[in-house]
Amino acid sequence: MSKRAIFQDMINMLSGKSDMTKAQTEKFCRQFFTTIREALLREDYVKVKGLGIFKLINVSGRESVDVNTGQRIEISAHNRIVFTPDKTMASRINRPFENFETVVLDEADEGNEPATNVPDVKSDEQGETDMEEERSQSIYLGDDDEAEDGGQVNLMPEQEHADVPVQDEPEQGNASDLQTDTEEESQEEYEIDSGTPVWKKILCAALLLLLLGAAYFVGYYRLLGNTDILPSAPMPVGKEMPKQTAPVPAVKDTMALPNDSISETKETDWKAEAAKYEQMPNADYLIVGELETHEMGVGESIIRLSQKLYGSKDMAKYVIFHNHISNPDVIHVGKKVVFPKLHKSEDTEN
Amino acid sequence: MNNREFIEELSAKLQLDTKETQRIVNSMVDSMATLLDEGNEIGVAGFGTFEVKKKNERIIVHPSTGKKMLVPPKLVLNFKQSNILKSQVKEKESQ
Repeated sequence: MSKRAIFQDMINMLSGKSDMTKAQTEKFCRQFFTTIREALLREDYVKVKGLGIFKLINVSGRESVDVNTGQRIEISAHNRIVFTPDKTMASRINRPFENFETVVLDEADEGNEPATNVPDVKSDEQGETDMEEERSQSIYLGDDDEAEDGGQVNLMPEQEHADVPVQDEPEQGNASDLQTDTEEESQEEYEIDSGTPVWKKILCAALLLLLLGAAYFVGYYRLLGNTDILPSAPMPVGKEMPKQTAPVPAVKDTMALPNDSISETKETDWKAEAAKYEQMPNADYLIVGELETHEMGVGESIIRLSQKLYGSKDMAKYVIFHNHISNPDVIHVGKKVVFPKLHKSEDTEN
Repeated sequence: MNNREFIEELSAKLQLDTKETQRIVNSMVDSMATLLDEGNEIGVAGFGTFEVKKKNERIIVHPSTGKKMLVPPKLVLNFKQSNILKSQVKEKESQ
């Protein structure tokens, strides 16, 4: 990238915008920068609207070391140009990043930040436990004849204090002291843990919301199932039947409930009804009537509707068969689909 | 020297109306900004170079509140003086 060419670009661009010739524009640009330079040398401060401020600042002399020879040299006081872009210019240059804002980092975030504070906290903790152990040592020295033993024991397992009570078990007094010590330590640890309450609260709130949402949907699903579609049959909800194979027995149950009540009254009716309809060959269920006519909406599928209505996707094939749908993947919106009433055929029942 | 004085001096040198001068300066600054936006650097012989530089995001500690803050990345316009101008400026000090 040739700098000269870029300057030339600027002149070309400018002459395109204004009605000046190229030569005039170039003259103007040169004069522009010459004026800035001269003014700088004369007055220390030049402000150009839209571009920015050129300022001379004084750098006081200081001693330094020559990087090559290692000798001391003195850098004399001199002036330096500082350029501060105009606000409009700065914001225009920064346009790709203008949406970013300075963010205050949370305490919780701080804890998750990589490895800056964590080791400090640990070392503090250790320091405190060390100090405590020293204190307890001094107490032993004052109190007990077996102070030396206690002191030694304390010194040995400085970091694994879990060993301490085990080793000190015969000396009950010491052991209890040590236990209180460890308790204090654990309390401290709790305090350190409780230093991050914000994200815990957020987590709890999120969990609560999730539960509420889940409860709402489950309830809604049941309500829908009970009132609208299948009054007496309890719908197999996902939570009750978590396994994939589970819906099949569930279906048998749900299907048995209404049909049993029917079969008590009209024992042989369903067979007569079944004769009226075209039956699927080798099927577990017989089509004995029409349950509901549904107009297909956007995003609905027969499989999902049969899951909703019968409690199992397996029943979709009867629906497809009954409606003579050749390609169940392509069903137009508004098509009326008849959902058949099904009854278990005798072959599989016994 | 503020903007008005600068424009006056420039217009006197070019024998142009001050309004006209201001207009051309504005469109010149605008075309500079366009070129810089596109990622070019503008070098002016005997004066210096204008260049856009990216400053990375960084974490600072607020001096008074002591809170940690994340400062976003930004693009800034840099001006680097040419050697000629640099030496001229230095000489001026020695007067």
